[in-house]
Amino acid sequence: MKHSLDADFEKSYVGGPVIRMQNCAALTGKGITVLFGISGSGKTTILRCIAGLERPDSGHIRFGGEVWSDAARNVFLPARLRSIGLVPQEYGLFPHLTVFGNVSYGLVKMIAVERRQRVAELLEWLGLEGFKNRFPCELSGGQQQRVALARALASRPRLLLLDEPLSALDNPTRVRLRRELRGLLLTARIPAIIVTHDRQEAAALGDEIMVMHDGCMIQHGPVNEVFSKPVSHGVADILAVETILPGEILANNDGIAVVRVNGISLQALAGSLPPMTKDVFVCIRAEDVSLSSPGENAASPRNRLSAMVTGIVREGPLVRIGLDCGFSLTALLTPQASEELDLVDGCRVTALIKAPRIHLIPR
Amino acid sequence: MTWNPDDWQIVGFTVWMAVLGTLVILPPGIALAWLLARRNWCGKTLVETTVSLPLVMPPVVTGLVLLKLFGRRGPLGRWLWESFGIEVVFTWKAVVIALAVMSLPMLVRAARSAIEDVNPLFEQQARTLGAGELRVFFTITLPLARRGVMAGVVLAFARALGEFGATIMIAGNIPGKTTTLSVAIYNLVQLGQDDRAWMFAAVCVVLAFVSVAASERLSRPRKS
Repeated sequence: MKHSLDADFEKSYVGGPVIRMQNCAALTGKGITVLFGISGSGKTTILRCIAGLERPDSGHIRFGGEVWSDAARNVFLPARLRSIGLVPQEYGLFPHLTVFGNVSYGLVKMIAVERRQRVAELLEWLGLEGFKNRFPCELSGGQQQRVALARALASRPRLLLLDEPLSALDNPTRVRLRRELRGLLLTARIPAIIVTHDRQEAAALGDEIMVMHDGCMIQHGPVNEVFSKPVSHGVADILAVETILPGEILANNDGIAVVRVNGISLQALAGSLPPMTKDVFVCIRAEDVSLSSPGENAASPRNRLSAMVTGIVREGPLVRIGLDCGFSLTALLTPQASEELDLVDGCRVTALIKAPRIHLIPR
Repeated sequence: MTWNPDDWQIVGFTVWMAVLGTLVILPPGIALAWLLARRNWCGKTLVETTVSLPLVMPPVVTGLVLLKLFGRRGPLGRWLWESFGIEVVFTWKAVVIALAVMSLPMLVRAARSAIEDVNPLFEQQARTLGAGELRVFFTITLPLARRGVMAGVVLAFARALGEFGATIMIAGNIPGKTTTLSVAIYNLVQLGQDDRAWMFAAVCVVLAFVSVAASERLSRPRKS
């Protein structure tokens, strides 16, 4: 249990909600745990408590057999003694120090030669050679992120904490770095907790996910499981999951990918996927699913799935139809469309999804 | 009109006293600014107000208080005399004390707001990297607040150069021993020697100009 985090604590601010972390025995391996929730759900507070920047009101935090915080016994280990690496939102690079100064900040105990060597090693690994003497304001967002990561990793922390590591980036960079970041974290072989409010990011980065809502953790488990089987309506709501499922690319013909999900083949645009990607998440929004009667075969959408209606719920001006077509799928229809098709629980329909409407995220 | 060695002595003495007065308050002033900006403690408001008093009180009153404190029969003066044989009042030491007390609020106020402007997230980040409070202060807080702190130092120095009221109360006007530029100018006008007064006034302008230019230089960021 060298890398296990055992956290069970509460923290509240004057006039704010109580942030509660219940019985979280996370990080049993060296994987990546995502702390997911909408803004204001208390993710950052939890991260700051684990980092030692906030003092919990009650409860305890232990890491690998060491007590970091125990309100009952009035124990609190300050941040500087916890040996963690923190990558805060917007990276928090020291503006008055160069890249070298930033990355080597936590290496005071090393002799100069070793320190230079360690920094050089990190910069090379992160593709930042030649940036050693730059100031943070002279770097792009992506470079700043990597410098912040290098700084956090420099002293070989036991636990890495990242707060919205991608949200400060523009969209194309974000998508590119999402892939890169997971690779880097896995190579570093240090357990990491990543805070994010972006579900695609959560799906792409994490091995495990903790879903936060109103200061409480409401589901915790492997990413695939949580996304495909939200334990409650609340979790599904926060995840805004209609359908996100793990799949495997079988073939890629001229940009059209054939993906296998739960034994069902789907066609989707390979889009900006890196070549040779195999494992993906298949994302389908309910608005993009249309339904037809089982018999009708001539239609342009490439994905025609035989499905059974499992639930019909009115949602605002629309109707949300739950479907089972080998995996669970949701469709959003107008009430008229639903009536014309005579939809009732248990009846059979064909679900139609255009290939460009199926979104693939590498995992 | 010519400069004689006594005139040069006054200029040199004033600059030297102002430098000393500023140096003396630098460590406690910055420490106090940090305590006011970053910590909550009991009596904070009282200390804050006391430090700022010389800014709003007539300098002569500050001088009078200092005179009573440091005079032979004053609490501090007696202690200094009896334990160390140090005589303060009407010596150069009195000048330094007057200048220091009068300049302290300038430094503390400027440095405090400069430190408050430093984003505490940088300091917290440094702590997660293993830095203790002293290292955080000297490698993060102070460098990031340096422009404001430098501005405070220059203000304090400028105030010290021009101080009159408190100085004349506690240090008097002893030519060659405690006479500063401001006191000399006042004295010369009293004696009807306006020409010489103007000469010293010109020196004051030059000194002010040089100190402000120097601070601009020092506080400019490393890269533009």
